[in-house]
Amino acid sequence: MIEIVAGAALATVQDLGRVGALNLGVGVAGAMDPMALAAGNILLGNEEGAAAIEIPVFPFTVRFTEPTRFAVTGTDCAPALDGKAVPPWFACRAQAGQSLTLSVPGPSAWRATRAYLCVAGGIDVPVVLGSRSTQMRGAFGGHEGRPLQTGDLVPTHAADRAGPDVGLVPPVFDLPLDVDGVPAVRVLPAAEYDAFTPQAQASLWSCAWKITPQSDRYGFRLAGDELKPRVPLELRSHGIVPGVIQVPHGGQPIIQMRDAQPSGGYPKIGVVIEADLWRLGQAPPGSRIRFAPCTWDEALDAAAGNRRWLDKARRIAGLQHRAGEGGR
Amino acid sequence: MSVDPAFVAQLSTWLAATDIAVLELRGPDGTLRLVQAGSVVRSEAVSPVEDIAAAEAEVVAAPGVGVFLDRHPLRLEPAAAPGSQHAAGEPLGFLRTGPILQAVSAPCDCIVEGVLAAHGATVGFGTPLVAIVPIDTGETP
Amino acid sequence: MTGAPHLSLLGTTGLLFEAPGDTTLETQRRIWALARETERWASVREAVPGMNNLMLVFADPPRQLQAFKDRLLATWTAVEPLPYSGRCVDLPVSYGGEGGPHMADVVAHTGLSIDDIVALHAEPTYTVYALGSHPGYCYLGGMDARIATPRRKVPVLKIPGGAVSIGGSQTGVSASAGPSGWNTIGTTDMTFFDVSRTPPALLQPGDSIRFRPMRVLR
Repeated sequence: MIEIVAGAALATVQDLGRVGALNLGVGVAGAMDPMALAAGNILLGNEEGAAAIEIPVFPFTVRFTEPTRFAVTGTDCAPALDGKAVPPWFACRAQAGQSLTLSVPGPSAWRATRAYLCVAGGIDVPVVLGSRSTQMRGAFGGHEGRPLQTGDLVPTHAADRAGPDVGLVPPVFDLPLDVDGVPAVRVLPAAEYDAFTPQAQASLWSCAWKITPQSDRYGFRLAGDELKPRVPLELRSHGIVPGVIQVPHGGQPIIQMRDAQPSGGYPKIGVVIEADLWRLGQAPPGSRIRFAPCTWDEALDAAAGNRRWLDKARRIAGLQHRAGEGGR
Repeated sequence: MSVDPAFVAQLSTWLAATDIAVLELRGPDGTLRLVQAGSVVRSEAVSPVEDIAAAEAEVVAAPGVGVFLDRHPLRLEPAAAPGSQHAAGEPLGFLRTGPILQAVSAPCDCIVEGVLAAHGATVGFGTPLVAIVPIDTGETP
Repeated sequence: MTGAPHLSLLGTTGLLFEAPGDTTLETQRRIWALARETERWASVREAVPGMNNLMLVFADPPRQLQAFKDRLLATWTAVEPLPYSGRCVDLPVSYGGEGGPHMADVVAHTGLSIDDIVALHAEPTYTVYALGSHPGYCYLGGMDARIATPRRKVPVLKIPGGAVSIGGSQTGVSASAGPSGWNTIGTTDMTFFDVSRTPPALLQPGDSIRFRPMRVLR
C-alpha cells in the first residue's frame, strides 16, 4: 500500500479512462498525459493502462508500506527517496517504510505540470464501470470516488515484482511539436467552424493562446483573440469528447479536457486530435499554445507515431525485463 | 613531468581515433593525463598533490554500450560535476540506447573528481565515465 | 423532413451525425435505430445519441473516412424508427423561489408570467431522448417552444442535484451538483444515478417524465 503523507491536493487515481459508459452520461476521465502513464507502466512491466496516481500540485509525499517498484513520469519533480535523488522516468525500488517526495518542478527541458506515480502491478482500486479512473462528478471510481487526502492508504497490486532499473527518454524529445517557438497541438475543424467569421477562423490558427489559471482537468480556458460566429448559434445537445474547442458567447475558447461532461451545446470551432491531448494535458497555466491545422491523414499518422513510440519502448524495455529475470 | 612533446602529439592523434576518453601517463615526478572531449584531445599535467587524490580515485565505468548523457534529458544541468557530492546509488550520468536510459550510478557515497566522457559520446562497455573519490566514512581499512 | 444530415469530425476521437429538420420524437427514434446498427461496427466503440444527433466514438478511426461516411448515410436512409415506449416517472417539482433562481430570467426572456411558465412546463409528457452531461442526466424532448430561453452567458459554477432547468429549447433535471449554463426554474428530489445499482441510471432513452407542480413560489 501507499500512504499519502502530505500534499495530496487534487491528486487522483487515473488509468487511460472509462470507455463504454457515455450512454449513461458518464465522462471518460483518465490521465491528462496518457503517454506518461503508459510509459511508466511499460517501465514496470505493467499493462499500459494500469492505474497510477496523477499529481498536479507539489510538493507531494508518500510512504511505501511494503517493498515497491515504482516510476515517476510526467513533469520532472525531482523525485527523492528518503532524501536521495532518483531519476524521473525510471523504474526504481523502494524498501518498506521509505518515503518518496516529489517537489515543485524547477527549470526543465520540458515545461510540464503533472507527474504520475506508477507502481508495479498498478494501483489496485476497484474497477467501476470498466475503469479505475476517478469520476469526479459521479463521485465514484478511483480512491473512494474523490481526490486523495493525507492519511489515505492506497492499495497496490503485486508491487514488488522483479525488473531492471531502466528509464525512458520522455516522448516529447522524440515527438516534438511547436510553431514559432510556441508549443503546438494539431486541430481538425469541427461542425461549426464554417459558422465563424473569416477573422475568427484566421485567429484560431494565428493566435498564441494563453492558458489561463482557470484551467484544470475539466477544461482549459484560453485567452486571446475574440472568436465570433457570423450569427449567434444555439445548438441541440450532442456528445462531445476531450479536445473539443468550444466557444461560449463570450468569444474566448474553452478546450474540454478529461473530466469534461460528455455532451454539450456550445459552438465547436475545432477539436484537438487525440494524438496531441497528452501534450495539451501537460501545458502549464500561464503558458501559451498554438493550434496547428492538420489533415485527417496527418492526424492518423500522428496517432500511429505515438503507437510506434510506445511499441518501441515496450519492446526494448521488455528485452531488459527478460534479461533482468534471467531469461524467463 | 617532462615528456617529449612530439610523443604527446603522437599519443593525442592515436587517442582521437579511439573511443577512449582518458589516458594517464605516470612518471616518477608526476602524471600527464590526456582527456578526449569531443574531437579535441587536451593534455593536463596532474600536480603531485592532485596525483595523490587520483591515486585514491575510482573510475565509474560504462555498464553497457550506449550514448553517454551527462544529464537526464529533462535536466538543464549535468548530474555530476567536479566537486559535487553524491550518495551511493544516485545517478552521475546516463547511457541512452534508443528510448531506453540506464543510470550510471554512484557505487558509494562519493565526491566527483571529473566527468571523463563527453555528453553525447558513444561509449562501450567498461569505458571510464566518471572519476570519483569515495567519501571516508570513518571506517578504518 | 428536409435537408441532408450533417456530418462533422470530433478530432480523430469520433464523428458527429446531426439529423436535419426540427427536433422530433420520430427523428429521435431513427437516431436510436441508427445507434443500434452502428454500435456493432468494428470501427465504432460507442454510439451515443444526443438530441436528434448521434456521436460515434471510434474504436479505430477509419483511414477511408469517406467510405465510413457513405456507409453511415446509407444506414440512416435505411433504418426504421425504433418504437421504444418505456416507463413513465412522475417528478414532483417546486417551481421558483430559492430552488429556481433563474425563473426571473425566463420571465424576462419569454414575457410570460411564472404561472404561465409553470403550466407550459408541466403540461407535456417528456420523452427521454438521450442521457448525457453527467451520470444519469436525461435530455428530454417535447418542451413548449414558448418557454425556450437561451443558455446563460456565464455558466453557473454549481447548481444542486435535482435542479429543473431550461437551456435553449430543451429542459432537464440535473442528477448531481455541478456547473451548468442552463436556467434553473425549480427543484425536485429524485436519485437518477446510483453506481451500485444495475443499471446505474434510473431512466433510459424511450422512458418518459412528467413534472408535477407541488409548489409555485412567486
